[in-house]
Amino acid sequence: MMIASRAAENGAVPRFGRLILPILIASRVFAGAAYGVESFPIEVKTANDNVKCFVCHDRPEMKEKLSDGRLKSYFVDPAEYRDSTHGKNPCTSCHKDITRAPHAPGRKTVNCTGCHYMENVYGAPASEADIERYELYRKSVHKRALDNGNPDAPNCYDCHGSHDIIPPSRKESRINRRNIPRTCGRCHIDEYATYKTSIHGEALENGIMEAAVCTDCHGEHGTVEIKRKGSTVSAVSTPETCRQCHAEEKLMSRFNIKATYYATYRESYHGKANRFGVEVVANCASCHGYHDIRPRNDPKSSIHPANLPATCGKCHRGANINYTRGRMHIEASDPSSGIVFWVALAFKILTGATIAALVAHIALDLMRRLIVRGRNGR
Amino acid sequence: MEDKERVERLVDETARRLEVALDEIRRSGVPADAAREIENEILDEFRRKSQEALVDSVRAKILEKRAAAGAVEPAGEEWVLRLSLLFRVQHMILFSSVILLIFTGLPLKFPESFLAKLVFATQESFIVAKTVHRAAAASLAFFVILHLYYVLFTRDGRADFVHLLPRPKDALDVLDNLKYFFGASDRPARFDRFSYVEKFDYWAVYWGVIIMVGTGLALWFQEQFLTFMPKYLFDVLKEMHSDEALLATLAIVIWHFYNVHLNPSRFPGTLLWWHGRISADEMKRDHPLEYERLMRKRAESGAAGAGGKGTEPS
Repeated sequence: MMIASRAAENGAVPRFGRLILPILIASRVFAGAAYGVESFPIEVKTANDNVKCFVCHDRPEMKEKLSDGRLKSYFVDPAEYRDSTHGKNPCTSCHKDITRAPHAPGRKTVNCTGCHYMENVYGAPASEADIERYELYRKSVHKRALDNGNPDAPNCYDCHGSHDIIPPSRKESRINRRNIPRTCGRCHIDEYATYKTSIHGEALENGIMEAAVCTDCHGEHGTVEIKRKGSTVSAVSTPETCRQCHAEEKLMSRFNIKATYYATYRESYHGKANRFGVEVVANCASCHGYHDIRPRNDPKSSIHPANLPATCGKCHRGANINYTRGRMHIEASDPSSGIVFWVALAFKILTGATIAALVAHIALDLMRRLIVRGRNGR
Repeated sequence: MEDKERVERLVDETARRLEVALDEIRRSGVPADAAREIENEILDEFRRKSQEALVDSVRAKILEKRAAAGAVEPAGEEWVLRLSLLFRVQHMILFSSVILLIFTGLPLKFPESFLAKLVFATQESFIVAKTVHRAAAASLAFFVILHLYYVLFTRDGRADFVHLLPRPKDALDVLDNLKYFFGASDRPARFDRFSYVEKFDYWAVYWGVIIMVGTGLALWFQEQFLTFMPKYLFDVLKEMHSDEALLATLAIVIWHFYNVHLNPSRFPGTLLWWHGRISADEMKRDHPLEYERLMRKRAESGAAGAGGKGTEPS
């Protein structure tokens, strides 16, 4: 969604992009002439050779003005790079097409699957799961947008970082749980701002690492459009996504949240219709919101009693204060459900007693028939 | 007069046989004992045959008189109209509505059941089932109106309603049947037009329809309902709708199916619901009091010389 709006803002960019190349070539040639240096071959075989690259690339001011006025930086912090996961790799392990300096224009983008594929000779992590992630990414909304020519759509390094890649277990990693919202927020800025004020965002801010971050609901590599099959946040699939945390007894008890909301939803008309794929009935997000989920006692919450008529009114015409008179997520078998529990219990007793009496009558009748038949010798 | 001739023929024939037999005996010189035995045999046969002829002739006379009086004892094959056309139409509307309601409603109560997977295969079939459920509910409501008309404005309906009212005899009938079931008595309760078994079915429909239609209306028109009623009341009605649905289904499947289909004297069911007729034998067995009243009525109307052939019981 955010991508779309950004693309709309910079509407000219993708089409304009085709014009950039010739301009770039011209500026390159001019730059080379300005240095007064003809391009010469360089060899970067080991990490030690990286110093050759840093001759130029350790300068923060090393930027290029693109034709659309944006600045593209070619600066790499040598210390940061050495500290990164790939710090022991020569620069050319990723920038494979660099053989001369100054570099010829029209360089290829870095291809991570050059190393991260099955049985690769570099020993780069490429388990079956890693490959599967890449396969998921290939079908994701991000990769398809990229393939369709959206230059803002994310490639591997937009989320994982490039020269600063470090394992996700490290706090500073862009894909460490605490940083995921900010990483996604680099593009999805409105969603990020909303999320920050939600209960999940606040909890994460307060160091509660179990709080849901973007990827918990949307998936990571395989994230697809809401309407697309396989979406984890579609009208039909949302309850299954929320339940991953909210039906976990242990996890929820740590935060004093009931773990029964999913089960009671499933038993409601909404939940039952949802099970059979009905899209128009309410799912979790219809009432609770999604990026803006807040607790019931927050006056801004969509399920705050004052806001409930409006929330229910999104679907139920004329919803008023009566919608708040009675509990939500009730379970007939739970005594805390009040009168519904008692009515259900009364019916259980009535049904049990009636059926028992009827069955007894039938059994006695059949028994007698057998006896009479036996007596008549038939 | 045929019978007299039959007896006379029998006498002549026997006399002739005796004569022939005696001639034989005389000619062959059979001992006196054996001769008497043969004679006795022929006479025994005559006694039996003449008795049969006489009883037949008396029976014919009785039937003749009855026919003249217009009160015909139903022979084994006679069928008596038990349920009028309007009664049967009501029953058909009722059972088709209820079957549809059960098949489109129960899957919602048991969404994990096989039935649910069958009925709610897709999002579309879920919506179709909902529409069918409401159409069947409307049909059930039509049945209610039809039945009220039947009970209030037709002679049959008023009579049936009075017969269906519970009375102390029903309790006594239950006790009688329990005694019979436990062997303390060798004859089951003797029922009138409707047994307590049938009355239970009838009044259960009142209870069921009032709850199901009443709560169902609230569920159907929930937005209107909730504009002036609190949500907890809606929740209660929803719970009642679901629970009573199960009770009604079980009662029908267990009680009604046993009593009209599965019990050994009716298995696999009769066509009473279709043509409305019951055999005289079945009536004598299952509704003896009604049967006797019918016979009395026939006799009376015969005595009064009406000569009507009315077979409708009341």
